[in-house]
Parts: sequence; structure tokens; C-alpha cells
Amino acid sequence: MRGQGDIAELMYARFRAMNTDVELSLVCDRDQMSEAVELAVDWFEEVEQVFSRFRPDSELSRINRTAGSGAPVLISSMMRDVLQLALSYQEKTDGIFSPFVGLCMDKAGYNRSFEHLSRVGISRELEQDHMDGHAGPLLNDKKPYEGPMQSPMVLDLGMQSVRLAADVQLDLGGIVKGWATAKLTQWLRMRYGIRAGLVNAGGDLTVWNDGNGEPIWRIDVQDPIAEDGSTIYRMLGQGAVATSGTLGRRWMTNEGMKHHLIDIRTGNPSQSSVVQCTVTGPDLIACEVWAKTICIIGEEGLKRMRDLLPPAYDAWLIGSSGSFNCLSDGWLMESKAERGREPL
Amino acid sequence: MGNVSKKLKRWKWPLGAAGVILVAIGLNTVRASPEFAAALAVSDNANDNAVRQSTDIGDAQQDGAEQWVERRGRRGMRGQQGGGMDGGFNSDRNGGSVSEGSEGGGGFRSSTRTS
Repeated sequence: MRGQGDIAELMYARFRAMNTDVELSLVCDRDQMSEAVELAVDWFEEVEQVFSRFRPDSELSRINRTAGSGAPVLISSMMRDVLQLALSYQEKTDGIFSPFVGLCMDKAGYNRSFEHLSRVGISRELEQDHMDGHAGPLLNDKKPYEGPMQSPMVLDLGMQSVRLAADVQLDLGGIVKGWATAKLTQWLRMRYGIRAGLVNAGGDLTVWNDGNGEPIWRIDVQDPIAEDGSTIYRMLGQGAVATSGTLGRRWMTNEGMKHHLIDIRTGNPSQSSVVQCTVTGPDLIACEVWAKTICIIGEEGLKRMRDLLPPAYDAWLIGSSGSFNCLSDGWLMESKAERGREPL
Repeated sequence: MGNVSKKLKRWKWPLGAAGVILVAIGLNTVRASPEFAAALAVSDNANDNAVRQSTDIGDAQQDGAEQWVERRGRRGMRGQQGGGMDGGFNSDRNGGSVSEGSEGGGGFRSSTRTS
């Protein structure tokens, strides 16, 4: 006989990790939920301890401190896996997605946890910033972009070590959240047997169901430009959604407004016409990387994604003027005033 | 003199065993040190590619995240506790449940933000 705690229902939990909110919505009983939350909290703490750029005792910080020393540093298996992943996406995106933006982030002022920066709210002023090029002067304009093949890092898989060139700092923030969320999802499904759920780590999310079509998850994404608080949404049974944009993580410096998506070609925050991109598809890491790439280089990134990925991936873009570009008809719009459904 | 010789014979094998253990520990320490890694790297004349693939070890490498979750399982669930959760968890956040399947035809709901 099953007790009350054994009844599977939709359970919800939220906690802070990696400077963002992590949400779990799982269809399970209370005991499973308790175990799942403990796993998630432990996992994200571990990930932060290895990959945080802002913790001096993290493995990433330790590696960054050896840049230019010429000596290889032994690394953990997790670091090896994520570096391999990052290098493979660097190649796929023709160098636009880069794990070597740590120094550019520092120079742009993102040298401490985002919660401690002077944040800037989302507003229409951004549109003008894009027009005027107020994202700041080029930091690296005398050094031409050398392309993805001139890697400033040697990753030795046999010795499990890494060697960084001088003036290079790793930043894996562009991939590690999606990677960690994908891993957690895999464990919740395969090891904990949770038959349906949603894991959302600050906009990088996965959903799954039991394969019979239930439940269907409704994914809302805010339209950051719309003044009436409109959202777009889509119904999803299984898959991943990642949203990236230049309006969320912004801060003010003496040189003007900055954001966290660095264009490696200039060493500066990107200035493309895309301010937000949401990519949907089977693999969360691919969604996260391509959402960032499209934000950084705009429509050109979208074209490259379409060429490389199967049709199961689609993207929804918002331009700085509020214009839309949508690859699929799966997204619907809901304005606060109308509460109606309009295909995009 | 004979007594000393007998005593030495009695302690010969434990001393030998201890010596072997010390040598093994010493070798492991050296192999794990960054200096050893550096020395190996210097002796390696291969070209500097972004990823240097070892033919034998690379294929057998185990997923680091899987190693972590297995270690955590062996330790008995909870590892280092860092951030912690605010509040507990609750059910029926959106009024949905498994038996109902979806919320008013709209499905379980999640709002997302940019990363």
C-alpha cells in the first residue's frame, strides 16, 4: 500500500546556484523530490567549485593563474570534458563561440559575480546604444582576429593536462550551465527514474515526459522589448530550450553599457542587431551555444546553425528594434492585454 | 652478535615490505605532481595542437560527471553542501498533477529568462 508521500504529482523547487535561479519541476513523489533536490544542489555546487571564474580556489581559476607559465596543469576529468566540448563548438561556430574570453570579460568589467556589478535594467535605451555603438571602444582593435585554429591552449588528453598561452584566460560560462543542466536531467531520468520533469537553470532548460505525450510543458519566454509585457510560448513534450541575450546581464562602466556576450573578433561585447535568441532542439548544449552565437553575429549565425544542425532545431530571434525572426511555427505570442494566441 | 643477527633476520621482511610501500607512495606522489607533468611535456616533441589525443588513454577516458555522481552515490548521497535551497519544495505549483496531465489544456508552465 502506498503512503501519501508515494503519490506522484508535480513538485516544484527552486534554489540559487551559479548566480542564477535553478528550478526543478518534477513529476514524482516526495521522497524522489527530496533526493532530486539534494542531488541538484550538490551538483551545481560542485560545478561552481570547478568552473567558477569568480572563486579563487576553483579549478578554472587555478588554471588561469598558470597562463603563460609554459607548464601544463593537470586537470580533472570534468574540466577535460567541458574543455573538449567547448573546443568542438568553437570549431563548429567558426571560432565565434570561444572559451578564451575570460580576459575580455575582465576588461569589459565583468570581473566579479554579476550580483555585485552595477546592473542596468532592460529598457528602450538599448536600441539607441546599438545605433550609436555605445558598447565601448574596441579593446583589441590592433590585434587581428586569428581564427579558431590558432588555439592559445593545448589540451593533452593523454596526460589530462592543459597549457594556456600568456594573456589568455578561460571562461566556460557560455557552456557549463547547459552542460550541467543536461547532466542533471540525464541522472534524474535514468538514475532516479523520474518520468517527467523540467529543469531550468537561468534560461537553459530541458523538459521530458514519459513518451506517451503527457505531460506537455508550456515554455514561456519573455519578450524583453515589448512594453506590454508580452511573452512568447510554445508547448513542448521533450527537448531543450536555451535563451541568450544582451539585455539580461548588462552593467554600466565608465565607457558605457556593457554586456556579457563577447565577440572574440573584437574582444568587446557584441554589437549585432539581435538582442535575444531562443534556440529549441534535442540537445541543450547545442541550443545554448547556438543561441549565444546568433546573438553575437546575428543572422549569419542563424544561417550557419541551419546549415549544420538538423531541422529539429529552431530559433526565435528578437532584433534591437523589436522585430522578430522565427524559424518555426511552434511559437505563439500572448500579450498581457489580449491573452490570446497569435501564431508568430 | 648472534642475537643481533637473529633480530635483523626477524625484521628483514617487514622492513622490506615497508620499503616497497614507501617507494610506491613516492612514485605516485611524483606522478601526480605538476613538475612531473611539466617534465613529460618538455620531453614530448609532438606539435602543439589544441587537443593532443592519446591513442590508448583517450579512448578509455571516463565521463567526469559520471565519476562524480558515482562517487557521491558511494559516499551515501550528500557531498559538500554549498549554496543550499531557499525554503522547501512544494507540489501543485501550477495546479497540475500527473493524473490531470496538464493545466487547463495549457500544460505545465515554466517562465524562462535569458542567460
